[in-house]
Amino acid sequence: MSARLESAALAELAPAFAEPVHDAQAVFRVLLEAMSRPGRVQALPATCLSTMGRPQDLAPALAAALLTLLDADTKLWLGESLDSPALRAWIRFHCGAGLVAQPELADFALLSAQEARPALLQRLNAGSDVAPQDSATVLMLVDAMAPAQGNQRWRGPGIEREHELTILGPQPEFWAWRRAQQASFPCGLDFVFAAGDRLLGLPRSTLIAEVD
Amino acid sequence: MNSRTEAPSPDPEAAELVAQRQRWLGILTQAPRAALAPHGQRVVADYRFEALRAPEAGLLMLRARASNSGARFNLAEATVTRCALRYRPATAAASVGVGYVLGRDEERARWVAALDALLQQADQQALLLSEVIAPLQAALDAQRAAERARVAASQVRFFTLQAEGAAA
Repeated sequence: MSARLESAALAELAPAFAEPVHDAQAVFRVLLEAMSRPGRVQALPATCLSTMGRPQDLAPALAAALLTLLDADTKLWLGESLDSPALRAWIRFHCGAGLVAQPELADFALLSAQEARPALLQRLNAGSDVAPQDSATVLMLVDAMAPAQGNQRWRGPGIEREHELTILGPQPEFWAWRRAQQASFPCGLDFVFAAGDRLLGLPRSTLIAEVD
Repeated sequence: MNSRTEAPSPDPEAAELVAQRQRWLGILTQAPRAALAPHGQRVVADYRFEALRAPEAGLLMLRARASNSGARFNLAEATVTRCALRYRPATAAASVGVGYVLGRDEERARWVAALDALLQQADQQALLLSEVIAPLQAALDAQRAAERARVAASQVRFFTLQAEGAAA
């Protein structure tokens, strides 16, 4: 990229957290809550949501998660449907994270529910039996999610009995793939679903019961 | 902090713009605080800037080579404060100024970023170059000349120990 193009991208760059340290801590707490209580929909902190800058077409929950989780030591793979020069510039500037072209190399993947197909998910790093913590985390934009009785029933650690919830966006083949992944525990991908300013965690330890 | 080295741009006009900006940024970041302060305070008060990155302090790894030719090694970490501000004039395109200064002086980083943003505006550049950059360059030169004179007074030449190949 030439120097002039680069400064043009910078001139239209969106800001990020207004209070980088406190906002990142607050969002990290929300992400922690989402991952330790799978199936409970979490909302971003109100103060952070109202003051945060982000690229126009990026959901606030995804923007906050990116700013909180990514830094110079993490690699991100970007799904085609969300990819844009403005988003790339924003991630490089505010997160300092490297963007990779191959899903295999990514620590985090950012994609939409429609892109979450088995062919792609299989290429992401699921960790190894020796180091399952090396696996990738998928940040996925879904159409809607609600903590009401619906198309999902989840069980497992962090869930007392069973959670029923509705998630719109991921295809049936995604859920089939995710159920099949349960057999390879402790390896596997962790998912964070996002819609608007809401976040929902689906760690690899959660068991998805048969979906209606 | 993120370190990335840009390959030199093949476009000579763009390369000249980059060289020019490197010159004024070099002067701004190294200028004595007392000389920079009045200019910095004035522009920060008179113009509206949007903070892309509020001043923040961090560590930067300094790398060096033995005799400037050996293998690279990590010399030390330095505290650096950085800042990025955007200036959006009513009529022209927006510009983003960046300030990186040694130490944890957040105000100085903000001044450098603000002046850098304004210097990229065509209608401000000439005035700022003559009113701000030239005097700062003079102050910097004077400071360096004084240091050089002070050190030169105690210089000793060891003729017999001169390294092979060194200038006489």
